[in-house]
Amino acid sequence: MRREALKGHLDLLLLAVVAPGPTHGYAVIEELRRASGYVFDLPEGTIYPALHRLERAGFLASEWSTNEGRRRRVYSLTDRGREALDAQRQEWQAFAGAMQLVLRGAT
Amino acid sequence: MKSHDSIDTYLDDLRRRVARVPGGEDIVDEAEDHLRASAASLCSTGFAPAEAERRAVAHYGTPANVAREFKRSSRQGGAVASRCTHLGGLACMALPVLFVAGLAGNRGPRGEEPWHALGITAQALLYPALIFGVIALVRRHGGLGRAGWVAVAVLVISPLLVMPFSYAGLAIFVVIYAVVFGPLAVLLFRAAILPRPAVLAFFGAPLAYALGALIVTLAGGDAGHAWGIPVAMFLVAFAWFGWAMWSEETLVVSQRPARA
Repeated sequence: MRREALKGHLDLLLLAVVAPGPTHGYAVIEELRRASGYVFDLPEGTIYPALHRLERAGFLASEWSTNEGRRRRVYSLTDRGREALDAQRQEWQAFAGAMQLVLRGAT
Repeated sequence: MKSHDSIDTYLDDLRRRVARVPGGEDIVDEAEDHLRASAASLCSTGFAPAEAERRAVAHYGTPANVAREFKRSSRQGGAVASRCTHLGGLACMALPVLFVAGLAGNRGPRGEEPWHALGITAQALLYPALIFGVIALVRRHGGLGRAGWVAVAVLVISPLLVMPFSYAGLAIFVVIYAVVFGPLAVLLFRAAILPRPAVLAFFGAPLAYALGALIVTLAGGDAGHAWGIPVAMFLVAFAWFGWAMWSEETLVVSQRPARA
């Protein structure tokens, strides 16, 4: 999948991956890769700025823990983030459904 | 092009590149945690440690690209306009209007009590407008949260702190303002999430007063007359903040424009 096409939906994908429970950046990226069937494989360094931006926007919260002597940042979804995820998920499903209808008619 | 064969050399390069990005050390710590976890995972699948580090670093993205993404991201701020942002913008724009209305009421013809009372009421409304405006700003820019909330708390309690000191209280207020709002000003300015000239006007007002008072005093005038300078700067800044917040288009998270 083209990276630019994915970037437009990255925020929604990240919110969806963090939604089940608090998780750290490495696990977020691994889960994004795994859940997409290894299709979504962006350079990891470009995903962290998006996580930070979502935190600044109030959709994610984070706290630091220690793992094997290293600082580890753990992200969790805020109430505002959950609302945004629900709203955007519905919007995406409506959009994807409409796309399917049009494309099916074109075959 | 510089090669990064080990995580340590990669992190050194990244640290240098994000040194001026807000939260630069946190960015490096997070990258280190990721890279070491990634290398450990590769080692567990059979790669030699050196090759695992090389592959982990290669997939993370070059330090230049990572730093560029963070710089872009920090310039975007945390701005996700909401109803609260727009109400905050209205409150900020109302503040100068209320101030002028209150001033006019105070200086109105003597003996016209209703007019005077209206002015006093209008000026009393400045305070909730100011608090609400600052709260909206802080909510809008969550990353500045701690400095912002400290500023709001001080804003709420400072009149009570300075009240017993009459006019000397104003000097105390200026000191509190500088200590508490100084860090917030630096963060706001660096993040570029509000119009920078307005940020400069807002936070530079006390300094402008000090300079104005010095000049007026040297010219043999009454330094008290210089109070008009910071007041005017505050009012312009608030009107500007208000307009910036009010006119910002509401975005939802997935509608943010993708950047190349």
